Amino acid sequence: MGFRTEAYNLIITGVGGQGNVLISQLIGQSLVSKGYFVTIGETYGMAQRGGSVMSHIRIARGKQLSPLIPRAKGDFIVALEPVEALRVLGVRSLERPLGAIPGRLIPSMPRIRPFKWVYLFSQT
Amino acid sequence: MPIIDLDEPQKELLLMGNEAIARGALEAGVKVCTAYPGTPSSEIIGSLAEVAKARDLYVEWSVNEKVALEVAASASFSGLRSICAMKQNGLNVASDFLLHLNMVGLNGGLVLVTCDDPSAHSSPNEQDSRAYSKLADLPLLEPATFQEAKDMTTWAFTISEEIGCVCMMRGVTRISHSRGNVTLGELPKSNVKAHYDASTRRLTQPVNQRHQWLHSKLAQLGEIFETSKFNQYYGPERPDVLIFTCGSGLLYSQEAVNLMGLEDAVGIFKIGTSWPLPTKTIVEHLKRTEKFLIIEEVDPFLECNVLEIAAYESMKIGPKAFYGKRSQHVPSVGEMDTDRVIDALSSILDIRYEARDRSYTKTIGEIANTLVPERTMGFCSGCPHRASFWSIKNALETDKRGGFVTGDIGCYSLARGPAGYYLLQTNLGMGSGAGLASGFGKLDRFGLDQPVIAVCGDSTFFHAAMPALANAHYNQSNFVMVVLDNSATAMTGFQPHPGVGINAMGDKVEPLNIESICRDFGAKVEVTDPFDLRGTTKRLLEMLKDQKGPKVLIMRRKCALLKQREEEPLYKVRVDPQKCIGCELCAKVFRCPGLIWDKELEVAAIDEALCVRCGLCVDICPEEAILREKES
Repeated sequence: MGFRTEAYNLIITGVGGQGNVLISQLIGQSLVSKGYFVTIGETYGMAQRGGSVMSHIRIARGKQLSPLIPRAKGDFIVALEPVEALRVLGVRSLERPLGAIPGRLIPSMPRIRPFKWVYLFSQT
Repeated sequence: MPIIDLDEPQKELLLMGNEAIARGALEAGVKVCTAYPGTPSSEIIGSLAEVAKARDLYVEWSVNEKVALEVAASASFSGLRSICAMKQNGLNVASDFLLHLNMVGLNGGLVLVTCDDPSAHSSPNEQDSRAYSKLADLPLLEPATFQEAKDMTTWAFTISEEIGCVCMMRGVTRISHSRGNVTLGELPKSNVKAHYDASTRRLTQPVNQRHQWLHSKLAQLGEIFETSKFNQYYGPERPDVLIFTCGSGLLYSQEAVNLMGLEDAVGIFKIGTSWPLPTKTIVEHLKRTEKFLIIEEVDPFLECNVLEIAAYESMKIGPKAFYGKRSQHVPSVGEMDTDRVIDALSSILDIRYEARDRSYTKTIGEIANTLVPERTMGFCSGCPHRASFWSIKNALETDKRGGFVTGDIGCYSLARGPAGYYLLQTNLGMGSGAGLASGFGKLDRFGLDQPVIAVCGDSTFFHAAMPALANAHYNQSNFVMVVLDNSATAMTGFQPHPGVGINAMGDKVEPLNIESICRDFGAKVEVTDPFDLRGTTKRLLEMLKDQKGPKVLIMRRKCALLKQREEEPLYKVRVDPQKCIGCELCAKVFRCPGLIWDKELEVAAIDEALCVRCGLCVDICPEEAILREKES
């Protein structure tokens, strides 16, 4: 008995607050109503506070797939933010990325070397 | 628009694992639902709260997980079916009650859902809660798919009533928060009348007898689990390797076998009844081959339990090889995924699996390393915590005695990082900052001369911090407790709590007043607006100088996200590039997302998409280069 399933793997990536989760739900719900098995894996929760959000949308006929796209199996990226697109390419990585739609660059909060604190208030 | 109470049996929906669990409870005729918010469990009781009136349920956000379980138990004692959901840390809080409850028998089924967070995506620790089932001698189920999340929950009530014990169900983030296909079942129409039968008391004595009773119940279940359809084998009669798996491990294992083309060589036995294990069934599968790989989330719970059975039955089954976390074929920390299963199988079967062209991997890796910065997490634009920690930092530096900050769990936990100027020294569970401070505040007799500030949130205050405050007065400990009151249980999604004035059922209630409670607990109490930086810092400095007993400074300002929903912005804010000297204090130290650094002009600027126009940054610029105008 085999598990062979053709899957289409879609990644929606961005920064928290860009509508990532909403997009993946719209796509997922419409495909379920057309008879596909859809699994959406996401990490969010800290997303509001500046973190990356990535949605893995697994689309298949006949079988539920796991919530995470295995390495190098992403077929299409929708990137709401260009740095996140690069992160996906490098980390979650695609075999033959078919499309990426760069959006507005959202700067990550910059790092600064530790420094001596400056007194801002006179002592009263 | 609630979805979980859709009265359309056989309809197929895309549901979140937590929604599927909530639906499963509804299909079982649950009546009482309790929880304290905790990622990734919050949506279970959250979605039940949305349909409470429509489905005639009682739903409660309890003040903590121990009380939540106690409330659920009262319902079960009265013949009603109840569900209680919590994250891994919550189970630790509820565990004392659980380890009494297990011994006394129930009437209505009680399902305890514990949602673990492998890789700690939204948690302060990584923990495998399944150990509690063995500790408490309670049955444990693990759903592997979204359909199972629903179906198992319904079955769990049946199990619970079959043996008169709590039934535990363990999920993980990837089941709870992922979405998948779920076919709905029927919604029941029955109604049970609550009645407490006082002739059957709920006492743990005589303990030996009750403990024996508990063991016999578990043995009774062992028989039922042998024939459960939630334990299922996939694959050839005689595989080269057999994977024992449970929970999320099933889908990962199936994909790994599929991607490697090993359907004829690798079999998968999926266990849904994780404790007690169906021993006879396991032995049958142990006879299929010599090599076994165990795939599961976090600890080698299934692994060790299978090894136990294999050892006892070794005369029947012969020598076997086991691979998993013990043998280091699978990493012992972090979440499971398909690639980890692939790596384990590659090693055991000596197969090389190339996911993709090596040179591409190398090139893209180099690009990613140079161009892709980490996104450090921080407070939202306009967050009052940013202002609170700014004052705390200034006060401690001005005080000059090397004072430090203990903390706990909430949005303000991010003060461990640059968002809160790396202030937090500890984050060791709800309310623990206050307990630690109560201790530090007694060490002056041994020479500790550094002042201590404990921070805790408003919801956390009610959950866990109050006993430590009572302790501080009673034992005369010297420290400052800062209550960061933003009128929300924010991090988990704005669930209400006793200080907010509304409950899960939507009833308006008199909010509990934190300052009165603290005064009654013997502390000196003051209230300040964290956006009044100067006033807050001054008050804090005075409290730090006071050497007697606990002081409480309540920094009260509504969460910025709530404010945004409820109010119009106060100001128009902009940076005057002529006045800005490029000190980088606002953009890189204060770090509000609304402030960005213009690399070309080398000045700060307002990001109009992210700025909420609260005007606080105006007060921190040393050159008064940020300007605000009141909105008309």
